[in-house]
Amino acid sequence: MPPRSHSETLADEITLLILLKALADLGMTTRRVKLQKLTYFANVLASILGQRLTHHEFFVFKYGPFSKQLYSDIEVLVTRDLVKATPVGDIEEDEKSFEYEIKAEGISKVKKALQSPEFAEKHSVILKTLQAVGDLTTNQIRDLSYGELNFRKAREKGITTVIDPSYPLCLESKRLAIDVAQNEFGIHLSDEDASLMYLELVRALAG
Amino acid sequence: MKEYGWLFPLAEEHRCSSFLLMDIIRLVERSEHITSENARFSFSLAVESSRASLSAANLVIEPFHLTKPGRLADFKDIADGMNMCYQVDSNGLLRLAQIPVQYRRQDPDETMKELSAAIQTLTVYVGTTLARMYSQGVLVRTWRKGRWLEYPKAEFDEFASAGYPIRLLSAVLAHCVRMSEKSKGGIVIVQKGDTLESCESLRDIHFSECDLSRTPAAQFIGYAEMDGAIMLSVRGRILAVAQRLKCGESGGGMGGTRHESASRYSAEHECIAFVVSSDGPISIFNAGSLWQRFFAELKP
Repeated sequence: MPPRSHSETLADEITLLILLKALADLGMTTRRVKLQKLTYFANVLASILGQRLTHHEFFVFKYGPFSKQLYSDIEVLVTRDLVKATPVGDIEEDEKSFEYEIKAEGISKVKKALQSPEFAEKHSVILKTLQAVGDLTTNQIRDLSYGELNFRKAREKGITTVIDPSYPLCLESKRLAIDVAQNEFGIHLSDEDASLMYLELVRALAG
Repeated sequence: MKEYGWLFPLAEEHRCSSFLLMDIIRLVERSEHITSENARFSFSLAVESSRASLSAANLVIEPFHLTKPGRLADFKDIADGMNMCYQVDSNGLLRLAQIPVQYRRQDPDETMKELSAAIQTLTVYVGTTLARMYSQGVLVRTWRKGRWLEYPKAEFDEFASAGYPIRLLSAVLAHCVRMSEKSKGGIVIVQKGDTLESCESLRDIHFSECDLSRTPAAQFIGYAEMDGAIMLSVRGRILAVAQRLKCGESGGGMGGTRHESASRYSAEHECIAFVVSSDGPISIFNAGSLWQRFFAELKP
């Protein structure tokens, strides 16, 4: 996978700010690991909905999907004083944990970004993601990520394998869900409905 | 799909996200674990509609997300669905809203049904024993005993040509559903004639016949609780209550005592027999055979 361009990195940073703002709006919080998994699931959902959320490269880590680029982005946002990182004294994924909260300057950047249709669409995907998995604790969302098909496939090849960013297995599941719903139950599923069904499948696989 | 397939057309009908509906469904499913001072309480929700919106309640609270049911306990039954309910926005945030006086009915369940019809939206009443979801005034599903149940759809047309009014059979079925919801068992016989045959009173009582249409649901359930069958004529008159059905030994082997006697009685008499099991299922017998069964999934 080629490295992210400067504009892609900027877009990813803004998308992370949008995610943190949406979390705050819904009264939800996030720590380092949860942020990783939320972004991963938001990318999976975006893919089912025919969109691209971020350009982060995720690979298989022993605690589920992980992106170094995402850590780098959040550190940049903290350094620029757009996000507040509060150490919480726990260890997550072998590292010190922080809780992240968007600051006033970050919120104004989000408001500006949401005027563009590109980020408004991303915001919509993020809200759906949070409705589905935003309330989960770090451990719960990490366990859920073990059920995601593209992660599972990559894991077969071992730790550090890059997860295919086109998420082909969830697209295949989407098509299957739409066909089964139509043929077996006479129900028309939209892409959004199919993404919800996919998350139900992931839940079942995660046990 | 089998369990939740119904929510997708509903989401489409209301132009809302299936994610939002799933969160509402999950909240209802978790409701039995939401307690305040160790007691359950009722609450109601109305999905914000583009057609009409409810005004904010006098009591203003910080909006909270559907996935945080613990917050409901802070407000206990203040949003029980009589005067106030929670209004859910498209992101799943709950706010307290005032229910307009003209939509208030005798109980919160009826009020939420009325509200759903009036503002053409989706409403949910969550009681301590069951929950109901209404879409534009129509009951969509009832959450009971850990299951989402569809209201029984009985095609009584085939009985109409034999002289059984569909409206009457539907009314009897509605009473049976209420009995089932209250875990009250019983038998209701709808017979052709006005004369009682092959039955006798189980108790030393005198019953003056009355119209089913003028009998409140609670009273009907009270009659059913007396044991024995309630006898109805096709004219919609309750002829007798607490009746022991006298019938021969031939039967369909349908299981419990109520089912056995209803099956046998319907084999020997021109009637339709409704049987409600105290654990929930409703069976309808005609001519000695099981015609239809509802809520079979409730059988333990």
